[in-house]
Amino acid sequence: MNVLRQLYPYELKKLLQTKVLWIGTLIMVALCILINFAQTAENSRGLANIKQQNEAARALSGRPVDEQLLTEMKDNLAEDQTEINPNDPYFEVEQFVWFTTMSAKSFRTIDEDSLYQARLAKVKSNRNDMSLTENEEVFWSEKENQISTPITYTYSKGYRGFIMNIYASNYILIILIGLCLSAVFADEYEKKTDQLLLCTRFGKQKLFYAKLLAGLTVGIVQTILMLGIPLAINFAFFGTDGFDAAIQTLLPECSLSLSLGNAFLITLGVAFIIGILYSVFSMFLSVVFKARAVVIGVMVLQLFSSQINLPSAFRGLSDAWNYLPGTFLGGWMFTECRLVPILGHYLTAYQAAPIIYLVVGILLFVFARRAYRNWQITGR
Amino acid sequence: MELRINQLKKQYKNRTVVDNVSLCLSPGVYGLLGANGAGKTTLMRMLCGILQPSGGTVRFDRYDVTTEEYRSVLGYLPQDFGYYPDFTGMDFLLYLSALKGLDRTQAKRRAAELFQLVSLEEQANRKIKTYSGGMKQRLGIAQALLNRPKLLVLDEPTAGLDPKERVRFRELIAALGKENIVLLSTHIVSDIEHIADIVLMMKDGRIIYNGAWDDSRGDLEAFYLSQFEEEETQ
Repeated sequence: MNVLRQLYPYELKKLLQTKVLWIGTLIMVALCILINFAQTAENSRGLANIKQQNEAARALSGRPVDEQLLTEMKDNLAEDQTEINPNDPYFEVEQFVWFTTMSAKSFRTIDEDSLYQARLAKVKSNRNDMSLTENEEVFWSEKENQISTPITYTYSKGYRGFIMNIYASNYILIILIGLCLSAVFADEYEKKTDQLLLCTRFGKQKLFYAKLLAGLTVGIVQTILMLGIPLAINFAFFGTDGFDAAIQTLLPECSLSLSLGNAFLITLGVAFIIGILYSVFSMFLSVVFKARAVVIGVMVLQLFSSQINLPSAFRGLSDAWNYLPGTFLGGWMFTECRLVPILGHYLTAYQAAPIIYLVVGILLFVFARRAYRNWQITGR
Repeated sequence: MELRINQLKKQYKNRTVVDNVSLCLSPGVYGLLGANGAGKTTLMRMLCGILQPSGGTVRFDRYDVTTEEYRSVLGYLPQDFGYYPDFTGMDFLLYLSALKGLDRTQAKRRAAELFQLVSLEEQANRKIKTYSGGMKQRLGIAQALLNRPKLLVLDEPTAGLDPKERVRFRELIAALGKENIVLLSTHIVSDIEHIADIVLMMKDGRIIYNGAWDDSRGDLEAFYLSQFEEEETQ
């Protein structure tokens, strides 16, 4: 422990002295702020009216989306209005109708029955798309029975914004962590310092842990930064009220009895674990390939691969693909219906993901440690 | 105190770089001579536990080369090695001291002694990227000595040193060799002639000469060169 305490500050210092860390972090922080502001502005049609929009939305908070509220919404629509408008006093209801029916014009004609029928159709369509097994169908039917309608609208724009915008932070983290932690082991090879380190008393074991800890520290700080930015921006614009809002106000096809506040906490937790996993993965690549360019290349590849959506007809491959951290994080982790059976229990995607990431992280750690212990000084 | 090398071998596919080398070294200075590609650096790397042999064993007293105990008595100066350019010389030595198992107080004391020994005390707090080539080489020598090694392996230690520094360094090696095992490789035959108690000559991965050298045996450099001539005529 004492040796680790001595080595850790030097390993951290090495990382903090790399220019790419500071330049990369500054650029990515700026990008993250920009993306979150842009998303907020786009969703609210500019930043100027956000206060009034929030007041209007708060006025609706606590009301069930029933026939009466839908009628009020329709009565308030302008005659020539063809699309939902964030500046409408009933915009939040319009949006819920839009999310549920996915029909641009339905908010003019919708009634309570057709709204909730559309929701059930969406739930069913979502499940059909995923080629569920019989047991999974039963599991979700039981869950769906616990959802009571009409769904109550609760103001929760802060949590909603965070959950929907977190994908941007995730993409940024892939690149940033890959960029900064590629050096942890590869730099020793590229700088030819490895031959000095590996022949010292603690160079083959404790140094590995010190490097890993320093890398994790940087990775965790960057994760906190990239999660903190959307969190701060969304809470600054929209406040923190609405913790208990039903998740269906954001994701109507979701059959989970989950509050948006809890969904927010789960997203935050999974994102944090993903940040740690990116860190361990980057360091694993760094020790195995001993080349920064390879680490960065693989992380960029991961970013691109997260844009590919495998058809759920390839069950198994598609399941595994969905759990790639670059693909997984976002609102859709609460609408994923394919379950993971573990010890006779079914786990939903957001329950299984942390366990899967933990197991993968431990495996990467074990392989990285093995690769480090087998590190040979050859050539040059 | 004894370094026992038994049937040490390193093979890459069909090429044997070190071919069944067996040696027993006790305290003293051993000069390893050989042409480029003779296998000197490979042999030294295997003695430092940073390159796994294809066969054979290396033990220092009862400690195998793969153990922490072996590495704790080892000091190594590689031929071509790197630094952390933004570390100061002091940071560098304190960092390596921690890796070698010195506590902070010991490390600071030892680093100060070594900065003085290699005449870098005024540059101790300057970043390494501002050091000249010779200064970096002296810093490398200092790091090898941090843990007062009983086994000191030096690969081309005088490269980059000016003549005055080289003479000082030879004296230092000679002093260290009285109580420790010092194995140094160099192309410079005169370095070996001046300080080595035992000359080890390597060719094609094998030790072709192992013994003391005195003037009665003739000129070492002439003997060394004759080995190459033999190779060329063969």
